[in-house]
Amino acid sequence: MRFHLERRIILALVIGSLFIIFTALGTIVISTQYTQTVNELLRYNRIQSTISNLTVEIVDAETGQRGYLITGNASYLSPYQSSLNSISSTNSSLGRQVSGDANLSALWTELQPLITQKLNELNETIVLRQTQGFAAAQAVVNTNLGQNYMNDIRQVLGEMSDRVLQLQTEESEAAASQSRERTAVTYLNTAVSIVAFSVAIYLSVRNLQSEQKARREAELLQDLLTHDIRNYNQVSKMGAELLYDIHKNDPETENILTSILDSIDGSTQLVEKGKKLGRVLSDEKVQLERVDLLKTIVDSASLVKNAVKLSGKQFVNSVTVKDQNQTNVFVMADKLLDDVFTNIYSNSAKYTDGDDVFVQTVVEESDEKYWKISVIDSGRGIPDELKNRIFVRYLKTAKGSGLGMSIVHALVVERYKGKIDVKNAVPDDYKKGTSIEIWLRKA
Amino acid sequence: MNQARKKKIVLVDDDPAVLKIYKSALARLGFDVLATMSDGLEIVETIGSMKEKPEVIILDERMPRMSGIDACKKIRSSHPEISVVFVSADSAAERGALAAGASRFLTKPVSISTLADAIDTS
Repeated sequence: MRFHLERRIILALVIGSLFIIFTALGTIVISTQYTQTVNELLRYNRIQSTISNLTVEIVDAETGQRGYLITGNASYLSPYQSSLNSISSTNSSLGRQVSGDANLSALWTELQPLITQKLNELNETIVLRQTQGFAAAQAVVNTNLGQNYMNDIRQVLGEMSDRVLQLQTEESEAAASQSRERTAVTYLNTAVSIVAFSVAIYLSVRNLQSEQKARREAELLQDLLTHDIRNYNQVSKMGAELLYDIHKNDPETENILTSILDSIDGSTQLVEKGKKLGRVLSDEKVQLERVDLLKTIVDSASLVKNAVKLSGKQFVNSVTVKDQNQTNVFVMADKLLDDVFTNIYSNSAKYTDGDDVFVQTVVEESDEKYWKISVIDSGRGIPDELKNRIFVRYLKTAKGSGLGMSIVHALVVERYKGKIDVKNAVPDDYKKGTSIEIWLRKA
Repeated sequence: MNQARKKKIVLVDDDPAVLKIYKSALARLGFDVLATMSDGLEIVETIGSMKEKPEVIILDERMPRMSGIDACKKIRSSHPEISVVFVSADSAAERGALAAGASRFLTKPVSISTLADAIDTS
């Protein structure tokens, strides 16, 4: 169920992300097309402007010619000459500007002889006025050839202008249409993205809520189980103690009752360790702080020493700091660091035959990041094939609850982001004891 | 175990089996078990009318109508001469119990000798 929910969240996120990518790509395409459209419209505007300029320049040339013909005053020839130069330049420019459009190019080509003829007509009448006088020039004007050329030029330039206007309109309409389509697609993509992400958020929240609910229920159940088992064990323990007192002169009954009491204590420890392990693994709000490592080691060893004393054993822990100058040894941990060492020391005591338990704890600087702590005992040792399994919860081969080293692993590796390893105290001979090596981050 | 201890005790726990075993063990040690009760409210309501007052009350924490901590506060307020020893399966309740005026807090399962020592020293 939970797996399906997570797959649905991923699917919704993928869909949302894809549509966002589509939207981004669409926006890039729209921007590119918009830029192209603007450039085209600017080009058409320039053509319109050139057409307009050419018309004005031809009219200016004609106006200068007329002024000279009527007055004979050479000053009128100045705007005429100026217009001639401009007409040549503007006409060439117009030819380049319309070269990409077949219709406009054809009209421009049609325009060329008309301009030439018009300019020839202007030049001819000016020369006649200069050489033969007003009447000769007037005779040519009266043929209306110049007016006809001018009308033809205006018509062709008008057609060119209309064609450009048509292209501008088409371009604008196409751009507007594309823009509407792209905008619609963008809105659609955005809407789908929003819906997909909303679904993903909703499913994530639901997933989180169901996880929190499951965790709360698990903690409640664990709490109830621990509480009730402790209550049952209370009755069993006192009952066994009463029987022990009643039958204290019967060695066989005493042995049986001692075993029963050990089992009761074992089951109490089991539920407590299970509860602790569950909390360590599910605790999401871990706040690590600076913890005095040497004090923790000494306190933990003292606790174990007192506990094993009750069972008639002597526990001796020798602590060595390799670099004597290192008196302040602090690590990133919390108050549960005690459990790391009490579990390791308890295991050493549990797995050492005889009444004397000797443990060496060596603290040394591993590197810039870690302190290394080696806890070396002379107990029964751990066969190589089991070394990797001692941190596995509910290990069948483990004596007692089998949860102690799981708690150690959960704390060191998962909670404190350290490292842990298990080796023989004497290389190649596991039967001579175990060395548990721990790396904790410096604080 | 058969020593003469005369302290008067009232046992309060919602588990009848626990009450029964406490009573057997403490009576065997010579304690005078005046009464057994199954709820915090019961001891709070009856303590005033008891002709013979207990010297020590053994109190559980989690009980149906009134918790041990609430009962302890009321008893210690009205009868400060009576000591309260908590015996609870919930170790997290220790701080609250001591703040409510309990003289000792023991976590179940507790041995007979530990319970007896706690009563003796309360």
